[in-house]
Amino acid sequence: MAALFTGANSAIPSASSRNEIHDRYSDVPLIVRTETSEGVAKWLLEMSGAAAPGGPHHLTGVFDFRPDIVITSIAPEVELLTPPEAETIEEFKTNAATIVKMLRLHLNANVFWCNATTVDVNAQPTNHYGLSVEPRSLRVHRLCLALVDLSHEFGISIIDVDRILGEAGFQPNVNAGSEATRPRLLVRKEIFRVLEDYGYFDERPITAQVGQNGSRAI
Amino acid sequence: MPLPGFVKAGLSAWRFVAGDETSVEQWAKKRYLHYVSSQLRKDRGRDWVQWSGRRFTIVSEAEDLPEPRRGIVLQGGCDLPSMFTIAPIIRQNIRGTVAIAKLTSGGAGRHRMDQIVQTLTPIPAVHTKAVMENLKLRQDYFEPILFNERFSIPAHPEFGVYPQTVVVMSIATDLTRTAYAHNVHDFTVDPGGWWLNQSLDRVLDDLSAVDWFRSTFRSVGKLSVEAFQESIAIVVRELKRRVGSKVMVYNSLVIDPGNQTHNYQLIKNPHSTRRRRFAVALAEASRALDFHIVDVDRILKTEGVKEQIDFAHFPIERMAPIGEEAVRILSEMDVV
Repeated sequence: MAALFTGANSAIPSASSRNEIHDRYSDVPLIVRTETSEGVAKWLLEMSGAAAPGGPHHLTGVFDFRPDIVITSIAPEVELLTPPEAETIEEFKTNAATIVKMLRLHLNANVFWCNATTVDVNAQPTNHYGLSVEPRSLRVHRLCLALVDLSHEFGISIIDVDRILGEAGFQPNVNAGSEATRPRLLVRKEIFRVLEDYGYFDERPITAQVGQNGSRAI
Repeated sequence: MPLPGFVKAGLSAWRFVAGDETSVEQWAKKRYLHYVSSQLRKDRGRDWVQWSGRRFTIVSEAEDLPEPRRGIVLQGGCDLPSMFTIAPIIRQNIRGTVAIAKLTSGGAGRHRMDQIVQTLTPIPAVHTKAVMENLKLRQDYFEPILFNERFSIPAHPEFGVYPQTVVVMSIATDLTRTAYAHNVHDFTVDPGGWWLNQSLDRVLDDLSAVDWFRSTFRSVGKLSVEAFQESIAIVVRELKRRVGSKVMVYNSLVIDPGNQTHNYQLIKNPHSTRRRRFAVALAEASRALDFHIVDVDRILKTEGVKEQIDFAHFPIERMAPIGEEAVRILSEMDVV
């Protein structure tokens, strides 16, 4: 099994996921590759071979690597593309849909997309009237909705970071002693659970991501 | 408020002899129940006094309930009682008097935004008479009571009159309730509360009421996001224009605790997505209409929702942080 993790630097626990899989299913051959992404717009340019000269080209190798699974995140859209420079939600959906279709067409890969928490401990607006910039929490809500639409249309799976972290909470006593690692641990466990759901560790066919669109290369 | 023990014992004895829900019992309830259920609790501190009763709390700096008086009216779902937890916070530095009250009570629901809008247009009594009798609706069910400039505490006129300074609403009802439209006159009702609040024996004894309802009303389903946006715009604008009230609205938890769904290719309308769409719509309405949101979604996620059985019913200990957030907003508004 080959898995490509791509997202903002710290968003996805790729190395620990690899270790967990190795520990529990040591007989499953596994190759993990981790890339840093700066969002779907740039990723799409790179995949299309249209990236500007001198720009980042690391993701163009996705076709050489030929992953079975691509695990990515909306973190770049939230963290790296701060408004008002951020792409619109419609642009995100269009670009993400094109990427999913390309991954299907050329690689027949399943796609897992991590959403993000809407909790922003640094900004807690109660009245949106007169705000010049949309709050991060609202942008995350919109991106989460876009992912549900993409899941419905193309059958991608969502790693529901919003739910996982929301269940655990953000109180100091919850994360005491392991503030940096606990959320990553929870996300890693969820990725692992979803991989199991698909049957990657069983002797059975892998569950197909088809969606309403039905665009899948077999 | 639970009934006192001696009342319960008397009621059991009476039912043993005469049977359940007799006409005598119904008459007695109608005439005397509010006396039993309107018991008051009074607490007093060095610089404050607080009265708490069924669906209201009054905090004042003195026994004579001095000015300035501010009124906070609660309109809507079962998450709003968390507003009563603000009393211990605000009473320490209370100036004048603050009354917090839920003016409507159980029975048939009428808290959806489109139902509140409906009250702004009078409906001829002749059209509603039979419906009010059969569904046992309150006399003011179709009245625009949310748009009154002043209110008093139900069953407690001794506390005087308060301006409707702030109206607090919740989208929980808009998310969940199904409305039914009259086949001829098109007005809507939400009978859910009525059915749920009756003895099952009583409903089953009178199935003709079910047949009547089925032939008189049609389901218009849950409120769409678009209808919600249209309705809340009217409600907020009219509250500001007619009453001068400030507005706060509770949003709702958007995630489903314990729901491990990760793929939506076979799920067309998950309820968590509906709640998220309403959260976005509410934020957009706030931006357009200038009102405050109590971000219940953020507060519950911050506290952690692992033990929560569903999105709507949070443990009682979660009410305090929600109340604290409400106080922060009321303080910004200069209400407390």
